[in-house]
Amino acid sequence: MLSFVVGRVLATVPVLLGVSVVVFLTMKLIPGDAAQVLAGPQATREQVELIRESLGLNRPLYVQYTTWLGNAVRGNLGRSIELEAPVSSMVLDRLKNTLVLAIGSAVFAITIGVPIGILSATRRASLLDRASVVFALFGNSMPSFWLGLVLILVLSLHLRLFPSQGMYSLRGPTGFGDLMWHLTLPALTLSGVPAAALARVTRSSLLETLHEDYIRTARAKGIAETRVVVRHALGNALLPVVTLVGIQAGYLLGGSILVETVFSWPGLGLQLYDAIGARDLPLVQGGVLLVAGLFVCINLAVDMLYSQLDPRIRYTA
Amino acid sequence: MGLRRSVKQVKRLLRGQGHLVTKTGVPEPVGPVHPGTLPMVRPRQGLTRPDAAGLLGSTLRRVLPTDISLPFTEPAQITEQARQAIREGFRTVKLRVGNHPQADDARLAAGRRAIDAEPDGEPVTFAADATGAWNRGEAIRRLRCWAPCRLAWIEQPVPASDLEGLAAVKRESPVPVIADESVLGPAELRRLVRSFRLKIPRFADLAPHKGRSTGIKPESQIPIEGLRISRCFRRRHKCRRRSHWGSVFVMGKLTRRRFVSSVLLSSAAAIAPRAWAAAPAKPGGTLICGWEAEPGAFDNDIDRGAVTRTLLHNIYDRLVDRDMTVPTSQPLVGNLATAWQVSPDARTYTFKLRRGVKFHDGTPFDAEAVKFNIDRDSDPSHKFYTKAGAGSLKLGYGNLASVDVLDQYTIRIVHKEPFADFLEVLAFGTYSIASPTAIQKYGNDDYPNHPVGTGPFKYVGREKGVKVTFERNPDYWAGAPALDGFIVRPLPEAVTRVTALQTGEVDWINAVNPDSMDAVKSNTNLTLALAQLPNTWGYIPNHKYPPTTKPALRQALNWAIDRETLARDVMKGLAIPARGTHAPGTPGYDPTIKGYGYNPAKAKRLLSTAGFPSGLPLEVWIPAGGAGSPFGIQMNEFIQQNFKDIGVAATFQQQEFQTFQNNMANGIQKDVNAIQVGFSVDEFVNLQRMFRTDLQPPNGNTNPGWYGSPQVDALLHRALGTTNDVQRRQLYFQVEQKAVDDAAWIFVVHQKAARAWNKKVRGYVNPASYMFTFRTVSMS
Repeated sequence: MLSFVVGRVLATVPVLLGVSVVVFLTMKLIPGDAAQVLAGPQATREQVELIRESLGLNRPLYVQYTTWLGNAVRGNLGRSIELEAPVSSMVLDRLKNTLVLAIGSAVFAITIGVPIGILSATRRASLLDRASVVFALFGNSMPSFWLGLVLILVLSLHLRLFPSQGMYSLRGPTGFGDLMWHLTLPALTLSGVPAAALARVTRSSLLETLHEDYIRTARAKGIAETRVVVRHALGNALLPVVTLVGIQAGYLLGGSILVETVFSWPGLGLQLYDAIGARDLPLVQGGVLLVAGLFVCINLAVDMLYSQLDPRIRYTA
Repeated sequence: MGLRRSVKQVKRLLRGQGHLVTKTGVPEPVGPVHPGTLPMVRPRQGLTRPDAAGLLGSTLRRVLPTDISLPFTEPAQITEQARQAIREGFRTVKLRVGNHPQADDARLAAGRRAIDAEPDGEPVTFAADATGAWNRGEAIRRLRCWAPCRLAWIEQPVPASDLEGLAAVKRESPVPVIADESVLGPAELRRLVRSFRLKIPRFADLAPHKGRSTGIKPESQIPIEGLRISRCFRRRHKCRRRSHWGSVFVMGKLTRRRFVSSVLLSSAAAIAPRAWAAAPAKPGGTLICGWEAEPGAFDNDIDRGAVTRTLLHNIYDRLVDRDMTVPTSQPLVGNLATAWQVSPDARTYTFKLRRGVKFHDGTPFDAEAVKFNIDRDSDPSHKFYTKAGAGSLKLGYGNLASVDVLDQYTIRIVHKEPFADFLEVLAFGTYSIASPTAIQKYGNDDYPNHPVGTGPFKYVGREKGVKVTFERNPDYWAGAPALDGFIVRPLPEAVTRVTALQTGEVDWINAVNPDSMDAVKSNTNLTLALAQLPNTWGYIPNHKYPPTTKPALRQALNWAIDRETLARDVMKGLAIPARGTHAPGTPGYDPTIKGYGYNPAKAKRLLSTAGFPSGLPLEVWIPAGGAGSPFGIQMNEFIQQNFKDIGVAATFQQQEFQTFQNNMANGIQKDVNAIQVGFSVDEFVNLQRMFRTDLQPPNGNTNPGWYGSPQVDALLHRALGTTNDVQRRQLYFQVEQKAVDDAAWIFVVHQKAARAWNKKVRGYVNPASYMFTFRTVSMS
């Protein structure tokens, strides 16, 4: 078990390296650099050059990258060009907000998705089952920012039930209740895709399990149907569901850029969005690296959870 | 007053009940008289009061608030009288002004202090009445100086007969203007309505009276902006000779016939009037603003775009400034400099600095501080030299011979070459003066997170992605702002931004998206206003390689564009047709330049003259997404069709940003006939950069079309050495005219910005600029 974990952790190093190279090159491919953004569209070339020099953007690409890498290994992710602050503290500050949103969405996704999957599997081919298939298709295919805008227009603007933006009120008390009130709409929006995916996978996995011999045996023994489904089938059917939760957790962290932007949720996603707009390379690098690292960690955690769900699974390095 | 019926209807009603309409009311106290109010009067005969009020769709009021007018007394007495009046219950204090300018300054300040010093209660309105004492220039000058006194309005600043002067003052004044003596009867009102766009509020009915038509259409058909009844019968004697006119309006108060109407002229430039109702200019409140992006760090010398730069105007001062409390043609005013001298060769600038000003960190502002700021951005040997700052301020500080401190409050800046535009350049946000102590304390890297200036608001702190907080600078040299502070909330998504305004989560937003403008307009709690931006959107033709080297072809392209339809339909009113280089309302706008209209027939004729009777193909490069406007793509498509109509088959090539920028820097090449640009064109100095031969690529990227004309070069050169503002203006206007005649550009539109705010926000001036200030704002 330990050697498995160590092996997996070591394997993340090339992944993160690869991510950083790709981000670095992509940011170089995006037209315009920070110097140009700072100098404005009507600056003379001389002006842009001065600013570029001051930011060290005139050096060869490999020098820029290795310098950054050298610092990053020592825990220094550089300084944000646009906001003039250390990147490491900036991204960590934002991470907790993104985690709050991700956890909120995960709760929504699981409480909406899994029950729908169970209901439609146990009432196969019923109206409810068909409705759940439509829900899954709809949830998976609609863009999250669109859902966010619809929720804002209906629940915030017209019904005035929830605030349209932010994490805390700028006026009035800010406590846990205020946070939950602000969290509802963005979390619901972000949970759309994972909820749909969970419903689909739960349904198919449960259907498959319900056709297993041991389920027939259980039924033959006269065990109540609810007990059969919940105690006997569901546990075994959850394996692919947990894998999916892991994958979707990555989506919740990285894919929240649009949702955070729509709701002005002060998380990593909004920070990345602003940083890309300002061509703030160090900040983009730091943010993406953190998301990638988290993604790897979550996958590792999911892998280790398997053994808890299914004792037959053993780990070898 | 809430009247909903016309005079005719009411008369009919009353006659039906056998009442006389024309009975005059006689004052008769009902119950104890409360000071600061006037007793309602009882009609001698006829209707009882509740009857009359009910009939008129109004409710009976036992008391009627009125104002108190303080005479020409000494400042100390003003303080006493104002305090006395407020304690007696008056809620509007008006000061007579116009006798003696210096005395007025002190008296107004005393009045404002007295009002601010009163304990919280109902807000007190502070206004002034000049009874026609000034000429227009004097009026505008005085009113600008008095901005810190936060007057709710000024009555009759110019003589009653000078309606044009009144209009001029109205346009330029930071304070709403009321016409008082100018409206004696229907004839005057008619003139006013025709001269201005007046707002006739709901309670005013302009139906014909006593057989005399006012000639004014009913409310619904009048371009509306602001008419208000201000007087009460406290002035009965004065009013009596003012005819029957008042009764036409004042139907809620049948018994109070002899009313004088006063007309409030509100800004016609901004669609929304500034608060005309007695703006409670009581200090306090926090304004929450929805910003379209997260502002960058607050270096005083780096331009991080308009979203950040406009905040620099709130934190810092500059030596000279464009006064953003004036809606259009913002005057260049002394800010940290109180006076300056320019040498006849336009190279040496000597500034007298404002005394007694302190930075937010408590350190004094003086000539050494100014020198520190200039050296930091121009002298590589300076300890806190920044390349980024030097790059960003190259236009102003790039060619300095010396910067000398003459005494504690005098500084001399010498340029190597004549530079008559220097003052205007200094007014740009990035020429802000920062505290040298703070820069030394935090160092160049960390200073932007601890900005310290002398401006009206202090930077408190920021939670990135959440908010940036500013608080009032109580010691601001021009008077502390009314707000306790303001919060900038980044809301990048346009729909969310508008929703947050509609739900009251924020009070003020920038960049209202075009699709939401109707929703905002129809919301009675919100005000939507367009601001003309100093922006010019168009095409730069290739002046170096044919065929666009032929003036007739360039003119033909200019005549081919239907700018009106483009601005109205495609851009939803967020632009006006461009006649030349500068947008109306910008300091460089010349109204005499007529520019090009829409005339396809003329365009075709010119095309033949140019030698292309059967048309020609053109290669036009546009930046990816059609940069410079949210409507970029649709605009380009519309114009492509316009060109096609005269036989010009334009191919629009989208180029990604970098390629496009390189083209700007290297100049347009042989195979491209024009490129599309959206330039910010605010000051005259832009003309230097757009049209000078020696600033063609690679010496600059603002003349990528290789425009060059010996005549224009000579004019521009002369302008740089002309210190007389009037003459310099004339020279630049000649440049603009020549550029238009030459069709140096294909001028298309000047864009506008849509901003919106809650009606709780009082006193916000929406300037024709990317910049704005919250110094004049208060919350009700």
